Amino acid sequence: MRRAAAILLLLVLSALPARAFVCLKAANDACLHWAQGQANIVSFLGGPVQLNNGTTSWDQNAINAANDWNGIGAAVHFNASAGGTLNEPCGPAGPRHACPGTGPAGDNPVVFRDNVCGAAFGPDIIELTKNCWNADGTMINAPVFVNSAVLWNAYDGPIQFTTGGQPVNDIRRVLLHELGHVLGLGHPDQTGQTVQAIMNSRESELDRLQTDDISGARVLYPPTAMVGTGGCQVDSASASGAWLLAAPALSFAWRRQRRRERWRGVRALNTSQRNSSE
Amino acid sequence: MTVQAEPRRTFQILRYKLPQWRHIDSRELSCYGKAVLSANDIDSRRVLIPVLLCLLVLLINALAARAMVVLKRDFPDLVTRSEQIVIGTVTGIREEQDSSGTPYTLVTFSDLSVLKGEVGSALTLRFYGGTAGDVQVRISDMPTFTIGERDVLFVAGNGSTVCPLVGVWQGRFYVRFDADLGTDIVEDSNHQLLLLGLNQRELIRAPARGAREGDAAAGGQPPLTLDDFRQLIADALAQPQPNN
Repeated sequence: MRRAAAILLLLVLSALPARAFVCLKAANDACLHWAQGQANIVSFLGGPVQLNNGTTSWDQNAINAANDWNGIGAAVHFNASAGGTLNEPCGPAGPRHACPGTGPAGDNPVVFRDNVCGAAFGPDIIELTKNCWNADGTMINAPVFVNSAVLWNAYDGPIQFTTGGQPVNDIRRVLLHELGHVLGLGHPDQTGQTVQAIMNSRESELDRLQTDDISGARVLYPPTAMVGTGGCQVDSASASGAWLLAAPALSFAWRRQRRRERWRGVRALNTSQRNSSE
Repeated sequence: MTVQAEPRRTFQILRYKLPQWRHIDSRELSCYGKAVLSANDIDSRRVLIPVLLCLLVLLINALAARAMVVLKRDFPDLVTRSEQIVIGTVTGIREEQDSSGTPYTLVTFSDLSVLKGEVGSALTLRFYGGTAGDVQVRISDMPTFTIGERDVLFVAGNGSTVCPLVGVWQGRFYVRFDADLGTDIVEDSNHQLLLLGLNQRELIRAPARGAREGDAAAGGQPPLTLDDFRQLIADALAQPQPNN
């Protein structure tokens, strides 16, 4: 009986999804990140259109996706809006393009396009994010290109198909994925991991952020180290747990640096508490 | 970047087969074996508990496997959708910007063995993204290459698309010389060892990333050598091509 219980325990543990989120990295191995803990997302996807999830515009789904990330307790915030003046992202680096093929610094439009600044998406790619960053991994901007040549709608649940068998892509889950890239998260399944994650590289039946996605964002933006304005509510206790779980997935140098920052934050908090109690 | 979902046909097949994808490791096998053997046991209580435990564990694992639903290019897709299939060594990597300022990374492959299509003595593939001054512009998970590495590449849309590989990373395989076997073996884009044969339309991957050839052999399935892979590709090319 004891042996059977041990087998059961081992196999149940083996069946639990591993935490395996990954970050996009700069050449110095630092994770890409927004230095001010916030990023502007402006949807130019448009509307009105009646979509299967009850929303009436593509823009609303982009904003909803941004708000999903805003609600996870990471020290990063999307300032999401729709419409306005589009700064054309494609063009050589210059006054209007902080990086080649992107717009001004901090400008992250979400646009429908049938190509990516002159290059075709190809038959397999339905959307992508172009991340531009400095040598230290600080993000400059990250426009999102949505392939207008494929079928789109918005819905929950399993992937839907036309009567001809072609997939109808769900804009909301796809934008959840892309906004994860905007934050600096990568594809866990591209590092040989098998986890439930909206950040996996292929569309799946998952239509909401998963534990692995949330843990990844919280490690990239530890709640106790929140900076800037307009940040989101944070939960330092659970963030500490996420930090510990995530640590093996990150580089040692980055871990050490962030841990020092966290310790400094804790010390500052303790000092502040002591002062207030005095 | 997210990869386009496959048409319904493949989707249904993959979903149906998902529980079989999950590798049944030795612990599960021994668990299953014990349950079967125990069916002849006289003490029913000693039989029932392990059997129920095994069933519970297999159920949990099946549920976990369902969460791994992926939609991807299978092996025949890679072959039929590619315009060229080559084996080559990376001999050059450089970056350039086009007239609109878009940065590209150009990777040149030499010492080519061409399995499909027409290619000269060298092949240069153009990937979106690169360095521009002190900033970098990249698309996440665009394949990256290192001088000297040898790859099998399923190429389509080179020069016109964001990524010239079928299924982006799915159309790239590493070739690695295995000293024990004395021959080249093939790994997927995650450096996951491939095993001999096909599972329906899918290449067979070793149970875990980084699994060694000895582990695979212990499971009764040898690694996929480069010669085996060539033969798989040749066999797929010999099949009647569907009208796309």
